Amino acid sequence: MNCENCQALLTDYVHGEVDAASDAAVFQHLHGCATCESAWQAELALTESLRSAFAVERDFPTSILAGVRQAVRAEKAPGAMAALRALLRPAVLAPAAALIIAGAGIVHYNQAHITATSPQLSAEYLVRQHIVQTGGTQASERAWNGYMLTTANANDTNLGSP
Amino acid sequence: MATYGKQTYNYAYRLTGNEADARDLTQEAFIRVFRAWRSFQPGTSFLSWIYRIVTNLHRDELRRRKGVFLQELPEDNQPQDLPADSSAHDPIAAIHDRQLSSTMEGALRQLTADQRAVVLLADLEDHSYQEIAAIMACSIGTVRSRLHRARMQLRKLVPRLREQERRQGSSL
Ligand SMILES: [Zn+2]
Repeated sequence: MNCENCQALLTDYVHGEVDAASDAAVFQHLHGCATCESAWQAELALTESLRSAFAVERDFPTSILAGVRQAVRAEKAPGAMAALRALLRPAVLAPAAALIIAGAGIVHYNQAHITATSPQLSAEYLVRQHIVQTGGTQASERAWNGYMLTTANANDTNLGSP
Repeated sequence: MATYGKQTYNYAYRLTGNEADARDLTQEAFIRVFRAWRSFQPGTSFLSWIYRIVTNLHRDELRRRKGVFLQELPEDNQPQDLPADSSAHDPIAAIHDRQLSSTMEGALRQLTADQRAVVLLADLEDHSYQEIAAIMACSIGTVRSRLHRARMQLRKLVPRLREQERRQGSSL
């Protein structure tokens, strides 16, 4: 591998996007060539400065939830409630959830619906049911916001697929 | 949404560079998610899908604004700071926006929207070329060439902007 070939691959190399044979060739070349080694260092430094420039993670603004909710409710979009329910699935269970269950949640849910769709009842499931089924009430607005806020900004967010 | 909301919002923030636009973009993306929920194919990465919607919305919005505002902009202004209602009414957002207008942010802003998205997805979100291609509806080859060009631009722009800031007496 010559310098030209090596440098053409460096961006892909630092992103782990070259095939195994080329990866090995670049790796070997970098160890014997100071010019390409410094070009490689420059690539790494660029990625590093991008990361540090954008290191601050912003909290999710609550106004977005309100806006989405309002729009979904206004549209009565087909499948919207199913979407809300499914979207809540990967969410981390918040301490607020326990409070909601202890409170009004259990009173409101529809027993028939729950037994039909979910053989095993979890606390998280009940919270979701409560939020979905009381979607139009003042109390649920608060419950929803409380639930979302505590989970949305939790640090240990869980990256499962929905 | 709890999990994805924060990630999506942060991606939108880095893409737009300001809070108001990031909020609008994230909100609109989630509204579209709800609308299109039935057509979403299980097994597809959900986050990639949202990023795809955000990236497309951002591109559309830039095109729209370009048509409306570009002629009226003074030379030294940044199109992305429009509309005027963004951070002007929100002092906290304004402070954040100033902090974000670092050298790197300034450099990213000079890339095309597509180059910017590729850089954010590859370097900050750690997506593979294949995932980025799916998000941006283009080939892996296009992802590669956009990333190469974008990074080449950044390597040129960053020292130039640093020098400018130094001459202007900025502490950055
Ligand atoms: Zn070399």
